[in-house]
Amino acid sequence: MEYRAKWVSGEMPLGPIVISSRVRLARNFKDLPFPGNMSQEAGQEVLLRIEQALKQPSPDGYYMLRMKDLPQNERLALVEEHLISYHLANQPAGAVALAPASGLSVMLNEEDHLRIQCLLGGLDLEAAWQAASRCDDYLESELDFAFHEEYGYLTACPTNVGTGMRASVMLHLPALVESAQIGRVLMAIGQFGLMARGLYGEGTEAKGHIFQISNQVTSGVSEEEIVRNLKAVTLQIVGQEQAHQKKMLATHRPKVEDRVFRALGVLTSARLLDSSEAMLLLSELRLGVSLGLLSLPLPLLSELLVLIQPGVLQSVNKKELQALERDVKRAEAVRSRLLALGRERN
Amino acid sequence: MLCEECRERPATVHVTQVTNGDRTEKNLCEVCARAMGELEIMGMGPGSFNINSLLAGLMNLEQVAPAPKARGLACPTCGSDYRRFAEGGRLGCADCYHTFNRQIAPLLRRIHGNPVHQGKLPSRGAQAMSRKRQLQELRNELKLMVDQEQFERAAELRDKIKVLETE
Repeated sequence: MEYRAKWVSGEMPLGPIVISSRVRLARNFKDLPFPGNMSQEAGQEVLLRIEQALKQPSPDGYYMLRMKDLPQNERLALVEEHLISYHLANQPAGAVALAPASGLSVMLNEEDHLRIQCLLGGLDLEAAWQAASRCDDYLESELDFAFHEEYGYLTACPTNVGTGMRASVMLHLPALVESAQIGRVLMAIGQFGLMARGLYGEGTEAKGHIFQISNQVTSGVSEEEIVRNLKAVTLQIVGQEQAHQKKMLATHRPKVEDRVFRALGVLTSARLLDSSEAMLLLSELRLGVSLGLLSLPLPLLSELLVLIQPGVLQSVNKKELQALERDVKRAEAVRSRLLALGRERN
Repeated sequence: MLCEECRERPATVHVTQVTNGDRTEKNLCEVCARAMGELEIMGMGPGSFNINSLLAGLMNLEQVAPAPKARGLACPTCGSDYRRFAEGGRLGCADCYHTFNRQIAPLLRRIHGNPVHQGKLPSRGAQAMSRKRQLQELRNELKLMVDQEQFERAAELRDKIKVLETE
């Protein structure tokens, strides 16, 4: 399968623990009502303007997908690849402009007219910010965005005003969860103006020990400061997770090894896998790689994280699948990837 | 210690938040912390944490906003009224920030601490922006010179302002 999501490939600084880094910029047109308050015509106008702006030559090479043209599975697959939000997937007036090679996706008619985002693998917030800012410059050379002299970029929700920037990292923190230290860590990050969420953003739970940490305050600070602050806190959390992982291995080595290799055994043999079991087992594999017990390419771990999701499974198989069929296909997909890797190595 | 919210149950959750140097501390019981969404972050809360309800809560706390007067206020550009914002937490259009500035300014301070933009400037608007900033600085200096009776310098400044204004 060809991935549109750049974050599942390439370099992954601090890979096993930091799954991905994302920067998102909210922008709006000054002369059109915000998406939650606009007519169909205004929604169309937003898409036309962006289509026009995307005609300029760009090294990133964008193409546009309209939500109303996509079946539900395809929209869900985009959510699962973290290229769009759940909210956008349900907006008939919504669209996304993708530049997969650069990790860029521009959501249109989400809560704001534009949400420019860049998602990269591992810890690479600076590169994500630079790419998102480059996309902003590119679009802004053709378009006028709403800007207030004192408040900065204006957004539908006052929590995004100013830089309009939300920077986030997706972290895999199994040892902190198991040592019951996670609450303390997540509580502490609040002191740095950061907050934690589950795998798919606001209101979703932390599945497979995966947490998203992002900046809470978007105004009164520069974009570079937001990136620096989030990066510094992320490095602290990664250090804590590494220390707890080491301690876990030192005190319960046979148990930890058994967990990791048992997970590998199930993933390479099972004929049925539901998505929560798959998430948990993949979490064990990632832990094994993190501890040096297993050697698996990090892109494969991230790819599997996407591949096991229901929308992606249906999109790959090009048809709607019932729950049981999905479990069969999911087990097949994971098994074949892992076994193919084993064959390559032998 | 008793919960600061209900003053009935013992406080078991301590919440500290520092936003741009402003430190707020709360001692809450689990029930109130849950109700206020403070436990969500730890994955202990029920269902989804909703930013709208939190915002609406902030709006209700906002005693500064003269509610009845503001309620009738409607944005001349998009027609949305203050109540729509107070209930949904979303503004109707960019001009709403001007229309409801009196209500929004304290809210922005509450959310961001210091809501003065420090980040990127739009390249297209930057020229106009910097002229506006320059004009403001010249006017301030002019006032100062007049106060100090330095009329020669004041006359120079007045001419500079005239040139900038006609550009």
